[in-house]
Amino acid sequence: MIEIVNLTKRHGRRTVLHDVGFTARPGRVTGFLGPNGAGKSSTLRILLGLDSADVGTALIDGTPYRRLRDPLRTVGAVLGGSGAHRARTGRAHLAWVARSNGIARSRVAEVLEQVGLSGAGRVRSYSTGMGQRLGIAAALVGDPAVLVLDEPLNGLDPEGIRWVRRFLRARAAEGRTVLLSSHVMAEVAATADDLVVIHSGRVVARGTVDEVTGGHGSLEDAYFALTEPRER
Amino acid sequence: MLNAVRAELVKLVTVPSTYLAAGVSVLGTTGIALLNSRVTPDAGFTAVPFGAIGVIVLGVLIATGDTPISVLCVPRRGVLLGAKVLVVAVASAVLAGVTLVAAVPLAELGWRAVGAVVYWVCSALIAFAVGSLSRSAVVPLVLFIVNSALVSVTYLLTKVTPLARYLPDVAGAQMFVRDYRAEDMLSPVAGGVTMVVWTVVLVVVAGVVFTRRDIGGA
Repeated sequence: MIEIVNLTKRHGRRTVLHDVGFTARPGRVTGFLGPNGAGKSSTLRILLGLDSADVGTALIDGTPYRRLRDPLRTVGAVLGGSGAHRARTGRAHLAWVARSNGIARSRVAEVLEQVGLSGAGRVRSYSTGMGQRLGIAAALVGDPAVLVLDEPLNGLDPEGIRWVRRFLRARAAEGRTVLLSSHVMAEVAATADDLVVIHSGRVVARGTVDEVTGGHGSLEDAYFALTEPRER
Repeated sequence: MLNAVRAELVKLVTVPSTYLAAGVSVLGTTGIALLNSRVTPDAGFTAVPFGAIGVIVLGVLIATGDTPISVLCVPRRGVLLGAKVLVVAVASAVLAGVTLVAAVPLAELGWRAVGAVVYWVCSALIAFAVGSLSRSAVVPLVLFIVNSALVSVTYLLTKVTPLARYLPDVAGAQMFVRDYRAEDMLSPVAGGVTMVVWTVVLVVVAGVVFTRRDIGGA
């Protein structure tokens, strides 16, 4: 369960998040949708303890990320690719990630197998899709009940997109909480149960996919109606 | 804390740049000491500031690599920074020890050798702190490598102002260098204390800034 409550974030005079709030529930995939620069990554970075909010809180199972002991056992996160050192092997990358949270070394081989990277070498040689999958492997290593993914489908080919989509659906079916951000609505429509639409740092719609689409011809129409500049 | 330290150790031994930096330290220092041994009577210790480049590179790389994902794994920033500081200090002390045994005649290994180890550890930690504060590897690497290997700006400053004797590398060098070619230098002990104070202040400042700042990201 992810609870985001009244988040406001300023960079100098510019307010990038205005009173952002939503909930992502267990057993469901929640899509966090909005154009580039709308505040998706800012929200997720606050949720994951990387950035601080000026106002508001972000909780994971009732606790702020920074207070979680061995956070990878509770939350797995992917922030744009793997973030791994290019000269390291995927296996070595996962080895230190697991070590940092006291996770058994045997999990490394398990998650590498799960994402299909068992035989892969140094991160330098990875394709974009392999990088995303290594990021997902790192998120899974602690077997967390909550998954947070920032644009996990960026740069993937259709096969890769389908793999990630099925993968996330399966994790939700196991009862986990899955929150994924995207700026491409078609990706999210095919994956999510619930939607949160953000625009210019404000949540403009939230609910099930049907609720958000309701009154518009399609999710695409709804998305543009919700995220179009107001003055037009 | 123990898990964070062990994770940093795994990181350290799984990137090739670590071995490159170690090679520069041990082989570079020993090589220069050998080359100079005919012209300089104290060649081993004279090469120590140059050899510190290896651990300086190590310090900067440990400060600047993997930041967002490290913070995800260890969100308590004080613990993360503490683990990194410990690994930088231990790795640079080990490399300094190995290098000195290789580059300096056994009979010369005394308190000056201890000073040289302190000099390397402090150099590595100062590089780490500056790397952490600047959030980029390039600027501190260029700065420190130029100063250590090409033109010692800090040494030239000793010709301009007596205050330069309090600069960390100038002060720290007094712990082991004989015949430092500048006037009115600090005593070995005062020099060592001065360098340690610089190190502690810079690491603490880097820690406070790191604890409070936004990590940001792509």
